[in-house]
Amino acid sequence: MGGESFRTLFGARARAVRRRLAARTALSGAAVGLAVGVGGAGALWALRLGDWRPVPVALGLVGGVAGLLVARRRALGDGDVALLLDRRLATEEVVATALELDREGSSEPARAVVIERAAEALRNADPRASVTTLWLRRHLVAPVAALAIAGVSLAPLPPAPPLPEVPPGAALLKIADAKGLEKVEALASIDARDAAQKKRLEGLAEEAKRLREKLKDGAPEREVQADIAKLADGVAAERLSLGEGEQRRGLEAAMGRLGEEKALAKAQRALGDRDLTSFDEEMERLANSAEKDARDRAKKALEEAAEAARKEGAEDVAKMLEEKKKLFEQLEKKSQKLRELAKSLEGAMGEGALGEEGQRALEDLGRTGSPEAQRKLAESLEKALGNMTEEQRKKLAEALKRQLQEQADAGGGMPPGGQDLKDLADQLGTPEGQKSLEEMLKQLAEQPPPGAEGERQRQLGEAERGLGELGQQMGGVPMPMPGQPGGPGGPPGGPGQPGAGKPGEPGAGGPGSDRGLPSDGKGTGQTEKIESGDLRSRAGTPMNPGAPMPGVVLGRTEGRAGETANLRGTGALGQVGASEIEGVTRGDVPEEYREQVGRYFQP
Amino acid sequence: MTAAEDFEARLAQARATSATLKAEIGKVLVGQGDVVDQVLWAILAGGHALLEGAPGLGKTLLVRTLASCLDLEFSRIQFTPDLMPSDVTGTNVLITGDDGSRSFALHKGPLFGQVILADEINRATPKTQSALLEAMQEHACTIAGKRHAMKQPFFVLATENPIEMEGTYPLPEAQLDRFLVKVIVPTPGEDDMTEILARTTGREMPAPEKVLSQDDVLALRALCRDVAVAEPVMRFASRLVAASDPTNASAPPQVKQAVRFGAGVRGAQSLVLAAKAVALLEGRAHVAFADVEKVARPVLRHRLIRSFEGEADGITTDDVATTLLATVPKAPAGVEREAARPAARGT
Repeated sequence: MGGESFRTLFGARARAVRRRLAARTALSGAAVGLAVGVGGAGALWALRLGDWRPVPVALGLVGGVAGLLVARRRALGDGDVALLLDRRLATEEVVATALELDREGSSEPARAVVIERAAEALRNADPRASVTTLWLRRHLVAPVAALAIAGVSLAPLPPAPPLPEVPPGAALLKIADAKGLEKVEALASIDARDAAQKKRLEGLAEEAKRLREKLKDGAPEREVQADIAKLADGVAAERLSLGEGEQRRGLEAAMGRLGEEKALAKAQRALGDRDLTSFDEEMERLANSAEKDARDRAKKALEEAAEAARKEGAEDVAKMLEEKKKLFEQLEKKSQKLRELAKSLEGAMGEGALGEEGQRALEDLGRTGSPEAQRKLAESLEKALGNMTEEQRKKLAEALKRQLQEQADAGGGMPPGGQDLKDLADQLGTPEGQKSLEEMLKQLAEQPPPGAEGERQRQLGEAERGLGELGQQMGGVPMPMPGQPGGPGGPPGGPGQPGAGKPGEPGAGGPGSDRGLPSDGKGTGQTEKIESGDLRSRAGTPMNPGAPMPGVVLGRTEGRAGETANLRGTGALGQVGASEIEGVTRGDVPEEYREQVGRYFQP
Repeated sequence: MTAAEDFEARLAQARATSATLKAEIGKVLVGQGDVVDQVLWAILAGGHALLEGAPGLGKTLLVRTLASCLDLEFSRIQFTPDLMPSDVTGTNVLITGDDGSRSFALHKGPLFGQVILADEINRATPKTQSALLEAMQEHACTIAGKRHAMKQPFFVLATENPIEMEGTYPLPEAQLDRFLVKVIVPTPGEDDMTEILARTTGREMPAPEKVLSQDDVLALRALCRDVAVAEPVMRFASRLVAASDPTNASAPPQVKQAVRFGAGVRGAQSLVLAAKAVALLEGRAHVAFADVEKVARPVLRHRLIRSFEGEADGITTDDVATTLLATVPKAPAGVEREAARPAARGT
């Protein structure tokens, strides 16, 4: 008995105690791990990370292992186990005392008695009493957590939430074939006014090329729109550059001269807006006018306006006006030829030779100078002359000669194009003459070619229209044009972005653009009614589909004194043009504020 | 006979002797079992006991009866304010020999007994009280420069009256510390009182017999010293004493509030020795935590000096000792926690 027996008994009890403690700590660790795993499983479920589902279970195992390691690290020493046994077995610290005495090998008289009593106590004690329960209340967490993990892991993953809406303009835009940009690219090859403009136009063309490449690769819509706006600004700036800057004074002088002629008021305004198309139309109308006096005054005004511009140093404006004067003379010549021919035809063949349509066209041409009437008259003449017999042609030639002679005799001299008509009359009897007449009528039906500035303006206008087309291609809403057959329907919604879901999971399609407005399909060309108490528009402003209105809203330049803020200005407040005088009075400024506003804009 | 068997036999004899002694005392003193036990702890541990109680509770009777049961020299010193130290220790007196020569001879005082009853010790001046110091601590007495050893066993049983405080001299801390235990003598209960009346109002008075010789007492004291104490138990005693010091970090809040000075090293020694005596009286060869807990109040109550706040709040030193026992851990926290768990249901 004695020491050996006590040592054996104590060793066995100590191992049992330590094993129990280690197992319990491992269980606690596993419970903690599984509890954490429940959170992890929930998070994985919420995040739809199905592949990671074994991780929470592994957390429980890791917790168990960690518990074992902790138990090993915190294992009770023999002294503590002895104290624990004493407490558990109510042996009044005999085991702890015996262990100490046994370990020390002391010769204390009480040693043998204490060791023997301790051995006896250990021997007689219920083994279950020396160890504590394995299961603690907190261990209930383990099975509950395991069940929860299993439940969460087996539960189907929640459906993917809808992807956040792409911020306006952030959607990727990809256009393989950007229509309209080629018109801007073509600006590089147009006949520029000077080297500086050439360089600017080439720059715009280069920008357009870069934009095309960008669209091929795909770019954010906002960025593309910014690029388009920049291009549109550049093109509009070029289109409006005539008479800007240093030449502005010359332009104003020319406009002042044109404004002196009442008949040229519209032309003056078109020039002010740098709208040479309207300017040409107005000139053509005047050139077609039957009143010679009016035509002469117009020519003279153009000549003087060019001179005034040149005097003020606006050489470009002067050149343009001289071109317009030449064009005016050509148009005048054409319309005069047509009139003479029509008159000769009636003289040769009697009233009604032109037909009803031709007669109306002749009247319209004399009254309005409309190019359309001129074209119709030329067609009517061609048709009438094509049906003439040989006899009738001779009569026509004689009537033409007589008519020209009468005009020459009347002291008015040969009318514009008169020599051409005389030559034609001489040859009209021959087949060559007949052919020449047909050629001439075809030429008269055609529009005369614009001048260099006009051509430049036309191409710049084309470029603007091209950018408008590109805008439409991107989903922009074209401006409904009055009189156009049918209002344009909205463009189709943008393509959905590719689904971001994984294979096997439902991918969410990207949001389609819904900016297209539905067409009513009735072809009335009307937009929906606008709810506005005070709707204002600029009367007489020419509108082009897809292109910005001339002289309006580019928004990135300073305003010009006397004009409303959405008009493109020169940025030079110190200079005052003729049209700007009393601008505040004429402008949309309330009566009671005019004085203050006028004082503010006082140069 | 093996050492174990011999020790077991001695333990059994000690237990039997103690039981006989208590029975003999019980013939005279009714009740007061705890008081008798605590006095026995002091005797077995080789310490001294201070008995405090109201007059007439049997303090003096207990000591006298104990002395009657022990075959030891008994002295009684009635402490009064005019008592001089030499009255206690004795003095050299000039004596004339037969041949007419004169010499000094020691006239031993009552201190030179074995069981000293210092009755109403707090009525003497501190000077006289301190005459006991050397004898109590070192079991020796120096008179006129000559050191005289006390006859062993030697122990002092002092009494004091806590209610008649006028004209008393409270014992100084150093003096108090010499007492192993301070025994509070309670008022007997109704049954005990009736028994006292029955025994003391008749013609015959019970007379105790001597049951322990001088050698028996010395043997018991030696056996008491042989009782084993495990280190955790000693650590518990140390922690208790350390926690009684208000400047110690481990002191509970009540100690910090109500105690001015805690117990010292002698207090810890007294705890262990008294615990050994308890173990011996219960026939054990080792000390348990419970033994320390049992002796903590009698051992510590006169060693804790209360602060003004403690006195004002009426916190007794026994309250403080109770707090210490409730807050000072016996074993490491892990063991305590594990011990509190339920037992295994199956293995």
